[in-house]
Amino acid sequence: MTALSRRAFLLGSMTLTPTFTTLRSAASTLRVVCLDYGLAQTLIEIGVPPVGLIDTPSWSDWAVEPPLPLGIANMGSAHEINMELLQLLKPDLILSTPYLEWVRPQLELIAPVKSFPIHALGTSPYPNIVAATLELGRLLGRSVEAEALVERTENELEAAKGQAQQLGKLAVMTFIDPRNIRFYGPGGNFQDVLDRLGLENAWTRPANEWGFSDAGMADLFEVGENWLFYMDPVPADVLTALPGSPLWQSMPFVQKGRARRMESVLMFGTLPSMTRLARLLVKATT
Amino acid sequence: MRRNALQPWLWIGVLWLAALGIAAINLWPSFTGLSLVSLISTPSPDNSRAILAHYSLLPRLVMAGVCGFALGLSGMLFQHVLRNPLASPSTLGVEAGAQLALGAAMLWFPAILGWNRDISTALGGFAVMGIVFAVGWKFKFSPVVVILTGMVTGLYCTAIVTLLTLMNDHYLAGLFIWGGGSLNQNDWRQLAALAPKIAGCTLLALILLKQLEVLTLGDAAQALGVRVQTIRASALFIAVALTAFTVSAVGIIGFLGLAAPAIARAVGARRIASRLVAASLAGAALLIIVDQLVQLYSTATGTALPTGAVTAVIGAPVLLLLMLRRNMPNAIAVQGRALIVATARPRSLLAGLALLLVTVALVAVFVGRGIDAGWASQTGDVLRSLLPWRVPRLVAAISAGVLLALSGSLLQRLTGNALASPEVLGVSAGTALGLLCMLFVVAQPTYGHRLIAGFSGAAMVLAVLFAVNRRSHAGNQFLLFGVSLGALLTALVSVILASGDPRALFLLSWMAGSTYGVTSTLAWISAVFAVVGVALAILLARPLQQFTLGDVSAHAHGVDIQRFRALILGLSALLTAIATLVVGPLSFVGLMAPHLAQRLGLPRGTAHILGSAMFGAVLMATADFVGRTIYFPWQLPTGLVATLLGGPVFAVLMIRSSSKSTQH
Repeated sequence: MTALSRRAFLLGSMTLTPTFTTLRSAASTLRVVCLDYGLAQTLIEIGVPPVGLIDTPSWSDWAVEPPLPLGIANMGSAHEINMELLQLLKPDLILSTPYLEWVRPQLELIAPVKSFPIHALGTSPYPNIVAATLELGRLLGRSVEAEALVERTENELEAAKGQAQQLGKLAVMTFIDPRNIRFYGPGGNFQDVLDRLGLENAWTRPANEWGFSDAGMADLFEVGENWLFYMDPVPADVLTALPGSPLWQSMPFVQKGRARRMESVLMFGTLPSMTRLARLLVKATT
Repeated sequence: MRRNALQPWLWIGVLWLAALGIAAINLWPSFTGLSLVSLISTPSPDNSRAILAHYSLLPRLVMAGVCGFALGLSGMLFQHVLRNPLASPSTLGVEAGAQLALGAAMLWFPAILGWNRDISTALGGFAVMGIVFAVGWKFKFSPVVVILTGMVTGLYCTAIVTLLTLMNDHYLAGLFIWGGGSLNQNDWRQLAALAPKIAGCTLLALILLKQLEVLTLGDAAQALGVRVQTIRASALFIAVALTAFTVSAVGIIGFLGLAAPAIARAVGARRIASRLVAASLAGAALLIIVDQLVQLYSTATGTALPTGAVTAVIGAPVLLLLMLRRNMPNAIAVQGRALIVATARPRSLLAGLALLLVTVALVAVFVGRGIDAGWASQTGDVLRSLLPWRVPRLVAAISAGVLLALSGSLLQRLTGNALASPEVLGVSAGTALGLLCMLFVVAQPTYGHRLIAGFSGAAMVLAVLFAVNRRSHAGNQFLLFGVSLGALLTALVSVILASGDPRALFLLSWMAGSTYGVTSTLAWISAVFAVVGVALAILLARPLQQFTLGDVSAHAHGVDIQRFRALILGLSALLTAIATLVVGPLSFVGLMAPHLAQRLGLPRGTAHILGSAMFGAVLMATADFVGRTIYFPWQLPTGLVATLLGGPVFAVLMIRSSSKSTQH
């Protein structure tokens, strides 16, 4: 019932059907500009890398996987997309997020716009990500590749499950500065991965609709003796402050040797981010 | 008499009782069962409750007290020395300077942060102080010049911080928390470092107490052989140091340095000695109250708010009410009546400005950069495809520049106050607040939603302005209202930004003055309003001129003051609302353009209005072109670039013309 209504919703939002039908037949030469890192991950995985992407220089810091192919134009920041450059690139399709709805009229002057609601819908993002992946595959004539990506992700997560079990309960967070931290919880991409791997989140406070909550260093006590992963990038002053901090040193998980630094994973990512997190967690057990 | 002298301390006592009461409610569940010894001495590693209390809750409580004390003292020193109840660490730009230094260090010299975070922030605070001092010294620390320099420098720093944030939003999340003033503590180390510095500054202030008392005499002090300048400079130095140390430890605690002295005055502390003590104690109690409430809220909801932003959210309206009730006996209007010589040939100056505007507009339309980022002057079909992206934003930018300049010009005439401008008046902030509310009601706002919300916000400010208008005739009331509202907006935005809410993306770019969401319809609507605005302003120029000579003179010339004032306020609020929807609330063109016109020799009448409008237009058109091309493919928001471009020009003109007038 819910699956049906979601499908109906996606179909209903396809107001530009005629254009897309013609797009599909010419998929091999399709020029897509992507205004979201998460969707770009999926595009690269299904073999239709975008011709333009926002903030390309930061990709290697935040998304990391999959590696960004060469020759993708930098569209500027998501706050203010370079419209002239967008016009000059002559894209066939622009992929956007609900947070850029307010410039949709302008974007539509250049090319058809498709926006994918994934986060903050009151559900966990995983089914939305899968739906978006399949929808992208269908739109771009890459349904086979999209289905393969979904299946590959399921298999990888399933395979990681066994080995990750020994972590038991764990929390994932990032340091904002030496005194403030951000935890990832229900409603976010990372929680989905934990659920898939049969792991329990040691951070039990409610998260906001995007799946994270801000806290102070003292709140780390709630993690107890469970594993704690703090994600890159870690501010320089945090790294120097931790060893000398009596509060940090007296945390049960630090005393048990269960605090680990972890490479960056895109928190608003799609399937490639989820497998990346699973892989990094498994790596931590060895 | 005796009861009067005691009254302030009764109120301060009540404030402290409230602070301790709230602290007790918040901390009791965590402290029960813990002995006093375990709270004070180093707890054993297996007692997690004692560790939490000893390393986090207790230092945070003390930190709130110390920071509140320092900011209260700092604010009172500023206000006493500058003889201006609007002076505070925020209005003098010290906090913004410190914040900019921290942002720069985060991006380019992260090693400094790893070594000592305080150093970079203190450097920034003292650098801004250096600028304000350098200008202030030249003008014998004239309150007007110091406040104006501080405000403009502060705005400038904030603009650069916003720009850095827009370009690097992933990295600077910490800057927002810091900008919002988080009092979280991990141990006593930070407090141990801060407390001696604050104590030292307090001691210096106490030593200066006698001389500060003499300052109250004003110019008569000079005759008594007191070196007024030296006293003022030392007191300002102490005040800045207090702010810089506090801010480098916990971030910007918005409004506290303005609110605490206001409370001290409101409860009836008269002499400077008692005012300094009352302001410090009030500041400490106030910050403890807010911080403990923030902790209670966080425990109840799981949402951590930055304390410094919350102080501003609470402090702004409270201060407003206080001021409205008391009718501000100490208010001194910031008069900007430097001797300015009118140019002999206003027509040729205006013609030159018009030529400049046309040139800039032509360049903005025909020049851009290609896919390979090389400079190019596009032609033919390519140009035709690019025009929809160049023309509307250019038209919108120019219109907004004209509208803001007109609004600023009207307000500066009306109030005779050099700092009156739509940005300071709070109409820009009102528009922004309307928009902010809308973001949480409508999930996917269209341009229509934003338009309605923005207008409602501006209209609400307008309504309150009129209510204030009926009660009192002092021009400063409007300014104070605007300053409070602006602080409220900044605080709300930093709360939202610190919460990491992705909706802030849109908010931030609009706040910075991005014109890229402007449709051609909106651009042309703004243009029509700009033309009508110029016509109306010219019609009003003559009666407005009477206002610069004072209310009495205006009345003598048959101007119905109340109605006329309301008309001017209404008009400038409307002009501001239209412009703000296009370029955001932070461009400060409304403050700068009328000054530029004045300093270059168009001090009054129709020529002044046309000149201001033209300066606004040129500034925004240049900003539009520069923002679009200078850092290609990145797009810099027009409003922000206008502030960055106009700031130095503004400063140079201020210094040059002022030194000319002192030579007379």
